[in-house]
Amino acid sequence: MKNLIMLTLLLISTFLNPSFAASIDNMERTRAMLITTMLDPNLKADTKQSRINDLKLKLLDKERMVINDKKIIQNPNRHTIKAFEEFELSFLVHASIEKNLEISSHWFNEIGLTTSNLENTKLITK
Amino acid sequence: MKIKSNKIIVFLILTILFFQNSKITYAISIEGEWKPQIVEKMYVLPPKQLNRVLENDFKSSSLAATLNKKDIKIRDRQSKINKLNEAILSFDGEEKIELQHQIIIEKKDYIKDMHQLLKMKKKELNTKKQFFKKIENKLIVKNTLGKSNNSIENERNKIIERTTQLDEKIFDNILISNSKKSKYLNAYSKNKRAIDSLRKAIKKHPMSQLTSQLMPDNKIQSIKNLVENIETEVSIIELKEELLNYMAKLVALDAMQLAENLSDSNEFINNQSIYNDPNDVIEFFIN
Repeated sequence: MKNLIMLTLLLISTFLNPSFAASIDNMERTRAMLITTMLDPNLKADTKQSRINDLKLKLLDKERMVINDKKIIQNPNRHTIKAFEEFELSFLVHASIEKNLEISSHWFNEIGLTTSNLENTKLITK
Repeated sequence: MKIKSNKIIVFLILTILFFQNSKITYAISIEGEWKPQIVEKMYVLPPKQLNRVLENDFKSSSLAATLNKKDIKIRDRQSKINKLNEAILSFDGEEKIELQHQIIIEKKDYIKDMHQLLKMKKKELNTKKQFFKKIENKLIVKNTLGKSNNSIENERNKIIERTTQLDEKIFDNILISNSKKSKYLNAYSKNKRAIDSLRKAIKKHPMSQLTSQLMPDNKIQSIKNLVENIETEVSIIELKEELLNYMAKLVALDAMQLAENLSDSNEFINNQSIYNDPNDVIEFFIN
């Protein structure tokens, strides 16, 4: 009986759980890889640039897949909602091209890591 | 003659009993059936078009076929009653009684057929009403769920608009234009142009403006209006049924009058034949 209740609850929770669309999942994974590459201190500058370029193209495709995914707005979870609310940080390739910036500069700007901000941080820590 | 008039009296008594109550109470079985065979994808159509699809679906049902047959039968009966009414003026005596009897039979059958027709019409309207009620409920549920998704839908629309404007810029981007294009990128650039031209064509289409005006709330309202119209039609049919009840009462009264007249004349003949009169045999005794 207890097992039956557990199974029922499990099934209910499976059906009620908001769906996490595969397209946004793939985009998030590629975006994470791009950011990891951008922040990797062990990579040489030219290797890093070539990897970023490859990932940028890959991310462009993934972003387009998310934008054109009609199913994404059906029962969205909070990650999906947040991704759509924060276009500048979620759709990095589109947003950086819109602002005519390099993808790394755009991302650093968006999270507040600008040169002036960093200098200000130095001043405070002094 | 006597046997025939007795038969007529029996029939008339049955007719009187048949229509004795003001309400027609006999059980009527409707042969035709109608279960709308409309696929769920059609539900997105504007209510007016959906109603048209439903009408076409009904036309191909067995209920519609039975309804049409019944309608033709009623028309034939109507003309037969008219002819009998005209003919009765030129006859007298037994023939007139026979024609009166015929008229009552035809009227009785007319009422029965008309009642069946109204029942079938009512069945059609009720099926239609149920169908629209089902769609209305679905729209209400969709609307309720949709309201919570509205914000993300708005965000998505804004993003689509923003990124569509960026497409040219992306194609001009040196890195992207010089790099080896992915399978998706190739397919995207090819399909995107086709999709855009189709979208423009859809936007220009006169029927597209009609459907875009139909927001979920408006659609629910339109369906409610359709249901209201159906209910009005049902009320009209109920009025017609009431009318039919009065007709039935009148036929019963006609039958009663004819039965009364026939039994009066029969009674006179019967009284004469049952009781012998001594006056008839006086001659036997005189001689």
